[in-house]
Parts: sequence; structure tokens; C-alpha cells
Amino acid sequence: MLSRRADRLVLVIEEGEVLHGSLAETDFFALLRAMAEDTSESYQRLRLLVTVSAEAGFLETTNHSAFFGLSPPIVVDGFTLAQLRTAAALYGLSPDDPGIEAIHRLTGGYPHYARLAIYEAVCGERSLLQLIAGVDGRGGPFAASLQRLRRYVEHEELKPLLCALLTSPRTVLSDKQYLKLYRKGLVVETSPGEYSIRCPLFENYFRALCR
Amino acid sequence: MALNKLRDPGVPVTLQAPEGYGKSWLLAHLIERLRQQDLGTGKHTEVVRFNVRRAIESAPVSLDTLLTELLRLVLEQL
Repeated sequence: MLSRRADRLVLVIEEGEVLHGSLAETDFFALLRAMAEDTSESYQRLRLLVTVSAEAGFLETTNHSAFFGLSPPIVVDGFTLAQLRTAAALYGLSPDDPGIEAIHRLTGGYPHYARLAIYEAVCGERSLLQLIAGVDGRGGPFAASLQRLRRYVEHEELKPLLCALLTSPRTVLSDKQYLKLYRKGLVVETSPGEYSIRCPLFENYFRALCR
Repeated sequence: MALNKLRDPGVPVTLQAPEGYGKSWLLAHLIERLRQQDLGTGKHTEVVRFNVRRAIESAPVSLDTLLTELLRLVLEQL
């Protein structure tokens, strides 16, 4: 495929973390590394772009190919307050809307939830502050997304861990458990061995669930 | 940064974030930017997308399965 007419071939590998722990993981990423490092003329046209819903460093600890060591991952962060103001303006809201800051605090800038809040407010012809006032124990406008998260947590038997984390940030998590929680954006490692629930929206919801 | 890294061979680009953080959106944006670069330079970039989850959902994970599925997708997309 590299000998075709293209000057550059971008091979995109999406959801690479799915291989974590599988028999194919090491060989597959070793193969990718070998492809990236091949200096022959054809391979000079190859570019590799990998997406992972996991901290690459955690994948690497059990991956001898060290593919993720070739280049530091680009960590896609949540929206900053300024970015959220810009997003709100794209939906026709005033960038000075006081609800934007409240949404940012509640969601920690989590793009899916922040955008959902803006979308729901605009479609429901409500202000963002009115929308936030409707966030009850079930999550109000976020209920469907939060229910999906809850089902995932229960299916993966992560609820006891999540409840423990709410009371003790130094709860011991295995790599596998952490990666499952990280993938869904639930938990972030704030310092070595110390974790926190990513945003108040999740914290409030799961605190109610753990009572 | 991702565009700069894609300029040179030998340096893979990894986008890391939880689900719902916009990786797919960013990916689509990067591909669009590469197409725009091509328009400016007269070069041609091919893009092949391979989703690992979809590739292994109907079969046990083995390197053979992965590579067979990857080859199938390459042939479909190019």
C-alpha cells in the first residue's frame, strides 16, 4: 500500500487500549513500532496516529514493545473556561453568560457533558443556570449519560471501588481497574497512588448512589 | 502539535483522553487539515482508519485476526 501514488499514508489506529492485556497486544504494538522505525524509502511515507482512552504510560508498563515510548502522547484536556465560552457562543449564547462558569465547575470542562448542557439549554430555551438547577439526584439533563456510566460501573463491578474512592483518595486500584475508570473519564490520578473523581457532577451522582 | 509530529516519519502520534473528550472530533479535524495541506502543496495523503474494537468484536484477539482485519480495511479504504 505504501508503493501506491500517495506521498504520505496516515494509518489511524483507533481505540488502541482495547488490546491491553490481550495476547496480541505486545506483538501488535511491536509491529507498529517496527513500522515507525523502518527507514526504508516506502516506510518514510508512513505516518501512524493512534488514539487511546487510557493513560499510555499504564499501557506501556506491560508492553515490552514500548511503542508509546517513541513519542509522548498528546493528552486531550477538557475545555478551559475560555474554550467553553467560545463553544457557548457557537450555540448562540452570550460568552458572558454566568451559567458558563457554573457548567465549567460542575463538569470540570468535560467536553461531552459541557456541550450536552449547552445543547440542552439552547434546545429547551432555558438559561444554563436554570438547567443546572434541574440537576437532581438522578442527574436531571445528564441523567441518560449518567445512567449509562452507572450501568458500566455496575457491570464492571467497580462500584465498591468508586464508593471507596469517595471517602479515601488513596484507595488501592490495580492498573486494570484504574484504566477501566479512566476510560470512562470517571477517575483521574492526581498524584502517585492518589485518585479523585473527575468532576463534581460525577461525585454528586455516585455519592448518592453509594449512600 | 499533532500536525507537526505528522510532518516527519518515525514519530507516531498518540492522542490520549477518556471517552467523550473529543478524540474522534480531533481526528477528523486533523485529517481535514492534512487535506488542506495537500491542496496547498499539491501532494497527496491517503488515510486509512482502523478501529481495534470493531476489528476484534466478532473474533478472539490474535495478531492474525488483527492483521487480517487491518488488511481488509486497507483494501476497502484505498
